[in-house]
Amino acid sequence: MAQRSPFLDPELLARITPLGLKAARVVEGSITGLHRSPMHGVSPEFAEHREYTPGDDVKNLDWKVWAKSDRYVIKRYEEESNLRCTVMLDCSRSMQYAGKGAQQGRSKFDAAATLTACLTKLLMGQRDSVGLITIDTKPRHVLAPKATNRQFAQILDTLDTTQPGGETDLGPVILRAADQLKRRGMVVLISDFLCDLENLYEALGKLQHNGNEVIVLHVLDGDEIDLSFNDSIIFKDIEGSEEVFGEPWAFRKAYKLAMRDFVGQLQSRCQFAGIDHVLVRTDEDMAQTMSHYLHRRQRMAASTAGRGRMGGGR
Amino acid sequence: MSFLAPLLLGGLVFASAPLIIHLLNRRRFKLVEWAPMEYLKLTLRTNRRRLQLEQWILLALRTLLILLLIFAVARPLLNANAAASWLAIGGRTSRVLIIDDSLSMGLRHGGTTAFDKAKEEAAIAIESLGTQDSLTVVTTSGMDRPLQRDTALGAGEAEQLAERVRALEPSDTANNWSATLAQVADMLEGSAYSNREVRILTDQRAEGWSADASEQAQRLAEMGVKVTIVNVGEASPGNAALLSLEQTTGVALENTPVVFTAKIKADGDAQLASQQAVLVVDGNENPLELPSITPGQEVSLPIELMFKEAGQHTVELRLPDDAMVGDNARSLVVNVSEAVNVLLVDGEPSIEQRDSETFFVAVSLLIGDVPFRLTILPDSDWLNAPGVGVYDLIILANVAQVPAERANQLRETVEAGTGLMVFLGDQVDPDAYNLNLFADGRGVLPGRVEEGETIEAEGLVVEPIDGSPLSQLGRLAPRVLAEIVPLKAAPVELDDTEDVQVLARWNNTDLPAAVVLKRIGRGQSILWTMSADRAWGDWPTQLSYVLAVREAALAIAGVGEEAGNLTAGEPIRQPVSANTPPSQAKVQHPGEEATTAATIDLEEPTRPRVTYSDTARAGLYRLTWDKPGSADQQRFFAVSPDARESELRRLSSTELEQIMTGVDLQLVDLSGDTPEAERGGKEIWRTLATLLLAMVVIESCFAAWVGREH
Repeated sequence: MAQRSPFLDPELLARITPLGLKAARVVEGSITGLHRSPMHGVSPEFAEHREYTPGDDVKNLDWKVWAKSDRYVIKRYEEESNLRCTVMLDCSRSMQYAGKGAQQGRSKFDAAATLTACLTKLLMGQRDSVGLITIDTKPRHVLAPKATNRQFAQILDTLDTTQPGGETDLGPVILRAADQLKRRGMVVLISDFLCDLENLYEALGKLQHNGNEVIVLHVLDGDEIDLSFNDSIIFKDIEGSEEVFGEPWAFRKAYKLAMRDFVGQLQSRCQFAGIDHVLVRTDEDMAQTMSHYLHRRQRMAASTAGRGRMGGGR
Repeated sequence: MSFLAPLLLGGLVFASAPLIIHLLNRRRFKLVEWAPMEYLKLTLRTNRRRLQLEQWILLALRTLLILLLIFAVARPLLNANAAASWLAIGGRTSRVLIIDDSLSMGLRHGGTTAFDKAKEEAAIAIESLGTQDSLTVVTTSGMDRPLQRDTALGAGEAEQLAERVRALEPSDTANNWSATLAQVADMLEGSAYSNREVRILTDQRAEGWSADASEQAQRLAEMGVKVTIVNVGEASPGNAALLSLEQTTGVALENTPVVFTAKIKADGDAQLASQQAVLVVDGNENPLELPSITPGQEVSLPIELMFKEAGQHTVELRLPDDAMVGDNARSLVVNVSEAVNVLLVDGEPSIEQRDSETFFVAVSLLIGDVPFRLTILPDSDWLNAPGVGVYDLIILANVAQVPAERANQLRETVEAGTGLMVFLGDQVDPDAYNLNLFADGRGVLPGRVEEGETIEAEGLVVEPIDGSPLSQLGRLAPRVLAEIVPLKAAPVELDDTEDVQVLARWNNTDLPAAVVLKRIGRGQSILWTMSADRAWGDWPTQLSYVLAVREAALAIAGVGEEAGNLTAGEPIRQPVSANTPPSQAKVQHPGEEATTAATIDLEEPTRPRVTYSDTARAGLYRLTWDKPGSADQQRFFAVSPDARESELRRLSSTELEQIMTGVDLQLVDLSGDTPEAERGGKEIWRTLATLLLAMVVIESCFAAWVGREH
C-alpha cells in the first residue's frame, strides 16, 4: 500500500536517486553505510598508524611496516556508518494552499509530503535511518529514525493520513521536537516558514548545537511569491479570521519585494549558520530544484573531501 | 449662470455612478485563503496612503467627468449675469465699472428702474471681484468723482463699496459717451495692470452716442481694452416729457405780465388728455389745465404770470407722473426787475444831449410804459471800467473800437444772456471790429463789417420770421417802412451759420442786410448797419425807429450771468463782490435740509465767484454766502433735467457695434423678458466639451497609471 503512495513522485525519485544524499558532517550510525563515522573500525578506508601498545589486537598490526622498519604499529581505518535523518514536516493549515499555477495542482503540503516521501526512499536506499516528525502547533506524529521497510511504509502511511491544520508556531515546536532527537544526525525541515522567524532561528540554532546537520526546504506557492492575481481579492487569513480587501496590481511590486526580503533574509541567516536553504516553488519542477540542490551538495562535498585529504597528507 | 435645458440637470444624480460602480466592484471579489498574511498586511500598510489617494483622485475624476457631461448637455449660459464674465480668467486686470446714472435710467419698469437694476448688477460684480484686480467705479454724471479709483479692494471693502453703489441716487443729466469714453481712456492709460476691462451698465439710449464716441472707442481699441456693455434698460411704454420751461418775455418786470412757454411732448403710448399739471409759483401750488396732447405730439403751452415785487421768484411746472418721472417737472428762477437795465455806450458823446450818438436810442427807450433804466457812458469810460457791468442790455453806438479783452468779456456776458445792440457810425474802425468783435465768427458780431457807404434804398423790408424782435415793425403799413430811407449803411459779409439771421433788409436791388441778429449762448446780439443818430439817415427821427428799438431791446434784453437757470450737470456760478468777497458759501440741494460747502473762486480777483458743480439732480438749489458787513446773501438756482434724455430711442446692438467698431466688445442684454440666450449670455458647452475630452484623456492616463503594477 505504501509503495503506491501518491507522494512517491517517480520523476523526482529518478532525478535524485542517482545523486544520493550524503551527510556533510560525520554522523553516528549503528550500521555500515555511506557516511563517515567518528568510530574507527572495520573499513577499507585507511585512516592512520599508531604505535602498538600492549593490549592492542595483534590482528591490527601492520606487518608490512614491521618488515620494513622493525617497528610495531597498529593500522587504523575510517569507519563508514549509516545516517539518522529526521524529516520535520510542517503540516499547519498554511501548507494547505494550492495556487492555480502549482505543478500537478499540488498544495504546499502535497509538495512537502512528496519531498518527504522521495527523500525517505532515497535515504533508505542508502540504508540510512529515516524518521518523521509532523508538526503544527506541536509535534503531532513522531516516527523515530529507522532503516526498515516497515518504517518506510509507516512514513508513507503517515503522510497519506495527515491533513494540514492548525496554526504554525514552528520555533517552539522544533525546539520540543529537537529534544526527542537522541543522537545527532541530519534534520530536514520542510515548511513555508510563515512564522515568527526569530523563534525559528533560535530553534535552528538549537538543532545545530545538538550536532545535527540541518537542511531547510522552503516550500512556497508561486502565488505567494508573485501575487499573480488579476481580480479584486479578499484575502482571508488561512490560519485566522482576518480579511483584507485588495487589488493585487496596486501593490504587487511592493508585495513581491517584501516576499523577496523574507526569503532572502531566511536564506542569508541559514547560509551564515551553515544550513542549506532550498526554495521549492510548487509552480516549478521540484525534481529539477532538488536535483540542482543535490548536485551542488555533491560538488561541495567533493571539494570539502579533497581539501580534507590534502590537509591530511600534509 | 443659467441653462437652456435645465431639466437635463436631473442627470446630475449620475455623478454618483462611479461611487456606486466602485462599491459594486468591491462586491465582485474573489475570496482567497492566504498564508503570507503578515507580508500582505505589511505591504498594504506601507502603501495605504498612496492607494487611498489614488482611489480618491480617480473617483473625483470620474465624478467630475459625469458632472461635466451633464453640464454640457444642459447647455449652460455664462455671462448673462455679470459676475461670471467679469471674473473671466486672464491675470490681473484694471477694471472700470461705469454706471449710467443719466435721467433716462429712471424709467420705471415693473416697480424698478433701470438705474436700480444697474446698481444691483454693479454691486454683484463688485462683490464677486477678488482682491487681485484694481477697480474704478464711476457714474456717468460724476466721471471726475469716482467712487473707487484704480485700487484693489481689500478685505471687506467690496461689501462697503457695493453698499455705496446701492445707495447711489440717479441724476437728471444727459450722457455724453464721447466724453465718458475719453475720460475712461485717460484713466486706463495710467492703470496698474496691462489687462484692461471696461464694463458699462446702461439703458443703451441712442441719445449721447455721437459719432465722436467712435473715435474714443478707437482709442480704447488701440489700448486693447475689452469693453462689455450691459443693457439694463427697457423699451419705453410711452413718456410724457416737459421738454422746456422758458421765460418768453426777455426781462421780467414787476407788475408786468411775464410770459413763459412750456414745451410738452408725449411719445409712445403716452397721451395727456384732460389732465392737470401743477404750477408752483414761489412755493404756492396752482392747478394748471393741460391741453390734450396725443402721442407723438409736441405742444407749446404759454403761461402768463405777473409778479408784484421785484426780486427772485421761482416757478415750477409738474406734469402728472408716468413711467419716467425725471422729465416731468422743471423749475425756473425768474429775476423780476423794477426796470430793464440798459447801458448805452456813446461813441460820440456831446454836452448837448440831442447831438450825442445815443440820444435817439435813449429817447426811444424812455417813451412808453415799460420802464427802462438807462445808464449812458462815454465809450472811453466804459472801456476803462474793470468790467462790462451787469445790465440786461448793452448798446454800443458808434464806438470806434473795442479792445480784444473787452470784446471777450462782452462775448462772455452775451453768452450768459445779456442782450447786445451794436450801431455803426463814422468813427467805427471796421478792421478793429472784425478782429475783436467778429473774431472769425467767435465774437458777438454776425459778420464782417465794412466802411459805411452811401446807399440808395427805398425803405426797409422786414423779414417775416416767427418771434423776430422786429415782428412789430413788420406789422406797420408798407408806406411807413417805405419812408425809411438811409443815406449810408455798412455792408456786412454775414457769417454762414444758423445762429445768424437777417431781421430786416434795405429795400434795393441788392437787398443788403439792415438789421442782423446773432444768437450767442443764452444771449443775442443785434447789429444795426446804420448809425444810431441821424448821421447815416433820418430813420432815428421817425416813430418806426422808436418802435423798432424798443421792441428789439425788450426782445433781446435778458438777465446776465446770474440768471440762475441751469441744466443738470451745469455748475452754479455766482459772481460776488470783489471788494468784500465771502468767506464761506453753502448750497442746499432740492428737497434736503442739509447744506454742502460751495467753492469760493478767487482766481480772477476782479471777478470773484462762488461755484458749485454737483448739480446732477434737478430742482431748486439755494446758494447762501456771507457778505462781510451785511446780511447773508441768498440766490436760487433752478436746475432742470436735460431734455435730451427724454428721447428714449434705444440703440440696437448693430448700431452699438458699429459705433464701437474695432473694440473687443461684448454686449449683454439684461432687459425685460429677453430669453437668456438672447441677452448675450455665452453658451459654454463647447468649452465644457473640450474640458470633457481633456478629462477623459486625463482619467484614462491616470487610471492606467494607477492600474500599473506598484
